[in-house]
Amino acid sequence: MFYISLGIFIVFSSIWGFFASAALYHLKKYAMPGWTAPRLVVPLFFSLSLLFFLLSLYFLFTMPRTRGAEDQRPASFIYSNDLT
Amino acid sequence: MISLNPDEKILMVLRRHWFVMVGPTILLVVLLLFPSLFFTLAPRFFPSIGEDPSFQPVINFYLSLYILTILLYLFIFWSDYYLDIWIITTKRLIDIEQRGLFNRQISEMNLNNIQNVSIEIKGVVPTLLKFGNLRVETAGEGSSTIREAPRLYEAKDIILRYSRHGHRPLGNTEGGGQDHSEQDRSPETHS
Repeated sequence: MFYISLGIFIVFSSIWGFFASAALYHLKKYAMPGWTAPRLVVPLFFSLSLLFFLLSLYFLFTMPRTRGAEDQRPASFIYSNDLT
Repeated sequence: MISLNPDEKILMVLRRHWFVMVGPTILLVVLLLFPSLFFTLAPRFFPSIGEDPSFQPVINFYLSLYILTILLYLFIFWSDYYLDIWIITTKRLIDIEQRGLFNRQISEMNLNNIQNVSIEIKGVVPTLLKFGNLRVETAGEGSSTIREAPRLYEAKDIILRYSRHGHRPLGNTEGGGQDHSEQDRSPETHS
């Protein structure tokens, strides 16, 4: 689950970054001098986005790793405790 | 972005009324909050969701990505609204329309060629908040519509004043005191 989610996160981040950059580019290029709203909206957007990116990274690394040592026992292995 | 002629000044910049953003913004906020509420209340109805502690980080991770997607969409939606403007100068009416990302349309119309200006305010909320459509028609260039904008009457007055038929700027009393400005011919539609 972890590695699949990591792959999804990398792809998602790339696509997200591309579109966010495009939106920011359009705002920077086409906003007229004296327009103040972008000075408020853009930092707010990036602050919230950074927060949720950090949260997603945190949750990603707290996910269980599916290829741990305890998962590599063959299915037919029987614990000695199971005999009691 | 826009290059003005040496003797040209910007008289007015119009943007769609803020009210047109309310509906989509509410929808996006609901979409933003719904998964969080769902996963908070779901264990009461689906106990199996809350049983496995290793499942919670997975839910939270994809929830974070979902919220990021909605945030990005909200930002792009706001940029699209913000970059849609109409600029009235002393010479031209400039219509700048941002259609999502990577699609921008700019059209200009000489004020001298404008023959007809009409205002339409339709609906309860537009009537109360005083926004609507302003349609400008010319002989050869077709027409242009300023949609869902406020200050329509002011815009109409400016356009007519600086068009061919209202050639003099406000306060100019040349020509022996004769008033050359044409009567307001713009039909207004209210519902």
